[in-house]
Amino acid sequence: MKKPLFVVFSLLLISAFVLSACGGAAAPVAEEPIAEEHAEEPMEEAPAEEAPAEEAMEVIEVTFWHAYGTGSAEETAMTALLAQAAEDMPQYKVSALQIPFDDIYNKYRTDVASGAGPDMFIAPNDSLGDDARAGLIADITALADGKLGDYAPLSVEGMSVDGVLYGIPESLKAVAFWYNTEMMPEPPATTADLQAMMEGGTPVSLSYGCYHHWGFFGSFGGQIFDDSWTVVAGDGVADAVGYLNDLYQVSVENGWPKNDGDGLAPFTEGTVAAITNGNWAMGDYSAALGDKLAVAPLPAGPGGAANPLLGVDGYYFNPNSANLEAAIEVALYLTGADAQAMMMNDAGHVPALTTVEVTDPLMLGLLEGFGNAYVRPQVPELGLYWSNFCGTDQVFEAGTPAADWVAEATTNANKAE
Amino acid sequence: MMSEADKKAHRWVKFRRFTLPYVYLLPAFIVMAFITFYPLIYQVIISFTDFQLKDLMFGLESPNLNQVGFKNYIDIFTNALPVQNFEFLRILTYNFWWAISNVALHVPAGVVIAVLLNTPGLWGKRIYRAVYILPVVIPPIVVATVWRNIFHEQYGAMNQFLTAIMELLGSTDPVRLRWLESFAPPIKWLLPNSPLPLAYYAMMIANFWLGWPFMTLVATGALQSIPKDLYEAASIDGASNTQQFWNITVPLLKTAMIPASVYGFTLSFNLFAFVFFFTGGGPARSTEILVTFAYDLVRNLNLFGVAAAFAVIVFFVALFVFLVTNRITRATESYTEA
Repeated sequence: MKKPLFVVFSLLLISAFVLSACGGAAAPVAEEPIAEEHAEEPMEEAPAEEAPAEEAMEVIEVTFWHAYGTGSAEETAMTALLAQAAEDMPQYKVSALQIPFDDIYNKYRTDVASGAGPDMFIAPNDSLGDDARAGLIADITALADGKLGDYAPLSVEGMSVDGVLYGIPESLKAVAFWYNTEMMPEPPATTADLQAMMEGGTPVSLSYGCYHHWGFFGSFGGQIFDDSWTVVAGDGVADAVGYLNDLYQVSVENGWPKNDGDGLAPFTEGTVAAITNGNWAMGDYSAALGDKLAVAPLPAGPGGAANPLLGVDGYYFNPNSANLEAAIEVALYLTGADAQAMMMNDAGHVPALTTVEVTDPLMLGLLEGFGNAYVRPQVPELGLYWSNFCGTDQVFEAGTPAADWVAEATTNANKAE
Repeated sequence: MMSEADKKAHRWVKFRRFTLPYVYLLPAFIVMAFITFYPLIYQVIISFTDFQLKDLMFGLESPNLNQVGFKNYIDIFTNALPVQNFEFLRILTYNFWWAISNVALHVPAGVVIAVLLNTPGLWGKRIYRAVYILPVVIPPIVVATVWRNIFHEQYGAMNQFLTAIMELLGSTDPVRLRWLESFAPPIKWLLPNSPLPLAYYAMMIANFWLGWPFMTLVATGALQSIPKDLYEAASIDGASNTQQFWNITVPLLKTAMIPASVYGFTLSFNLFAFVFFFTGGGPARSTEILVTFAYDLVRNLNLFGVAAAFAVIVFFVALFVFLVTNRITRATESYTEA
């Protein structure tokens, strides 16, 4: 008698699995109104005189991701800014979530592709072109029309792909040469000066990595792409990589830091005289070094001025968002004059808004460096740079001649065609 | 002679006997269909396409998705991917070597430590056994991060330890081994088509810490199941401790240690989290294993179609490993015989 019962029970269990798997969407539909009723009923049923005015206001939740490191000047400034936003815009509840920078793009993409994701997120325009072409970022051209008149045209351009606007610009960023005036009264004006300084024993934390290397290509007259976005890295790029290899060997010999992460503590503690990094780190450097901190463009070389990649940080919006207009309004507040002044003063962000007055010598120094910067292109071919020119270990560590390595990288990149 | 009713009842019983196991298996199959088979089939399908970021939003419905046939597979085998410093055969060779060398170290060490800790009258056996299981339960990302810091060129404990030893030997220079960065292989002739940099040895040390406790755990269990009478009889017959070890302990441990070795091999072969967080496959992709490269194809390069093809190849490599090891261990024999 027990066996048939067991079989029946098993069949019921299987049916339950099948029904749950096939009818996933049905349950929430039935449950949602109940949940809403519970949430709304007390407000509706409560006597009018007992309900404060704020409670009657419909509060829209805007979910927001950022990638500012825990405890960094950027995160501290953003937290303060969001607290201010909560006071100034009680109609919106901004729920911020910090995502590690390495994960933010992939997490956003997979979430959006599965129909979820935050209403908006802030990040550099590193992959805006690819994401926009993939339909993963909302087109806000119409919604933001007429609202970005005071933003630097360069920053608005950085938020656009093929003439379509995909974000609200917040700040500009590029790699610069930060130095401690007590240890290095004058920054190196040329690549030869920098090499002489390092070989002479001045400790410099040069950041070796394909993003940081880009600026030196201009110093040696090199370019990665031609006008039609074909990879044409040649002698100039090879000279730059060869030069960086020489500096790398000096760094290794002296045990100096070789990336911005490792360089943070020695630079802020005054054991290295200079560091190459983007202006996102300015808040931390400034807090530690105060008046001793100065900034200069990356050194020029025989080929001309350095041309670091110029990126634009901005707020992007989820095409799945049910609160797109609210999110844009929040983003406009977070990039308004007061907000950008706060991010400039506390976190070293170079404002995208032209109405923000820049008087800080550090900011002015950065803007000088940005003059020669290479505006990050939003073309699909940019990916060929990241997939083929980032393995400089092969030169720095394995000893492959720079010219051979660059030639191989160029050939590899053009395989994709 | 059976009546028609009896025959019918007999057929029903036979039918029930035949179908009942499948009824029991059905819930598991339904769950697996969603969480295992569907992603696998989807992956095989996209391995024949140029699936990239552009197709993520619409999946197989994407208007931009192109069928490319076996191109992804051919590109992988001929090293024609638009990715620098990629050689499939080198990564495959290194991956096998990495797994084999780890097992070759962990198993003997695990057995020796288990035998030592099994010494009659040894104090604190329970404490030792509780302590040495710790590495097994610590998440791989924590293990990798801690060991990465230990091998840091400037601040790492390993170089400081070596400096202290060198000081005892009269040297005043600090040891600055660049464990995770130096490309030059310390032993040049070892694995010629995939030179093993210092990072490999650093990983071996760290993974040894991670790997021996499991082998010791298995060996301890197996040791306790060996009847003591055998040792007593051997002792009476005049066998030395070494002879007892080689002629009693080792043969009787084999039944437990061979499956454990196979498990260890499979685990090391696909040790994604540890390798990814420890060296990231560097320097110059010299410690890259198949699964970390597949992940790089997805995460950094967004070549989903190529990554899917790569994963299918990894599947066949793993299948080959399984078939070989299964033949050695006869792990599934009892099921097939039934």
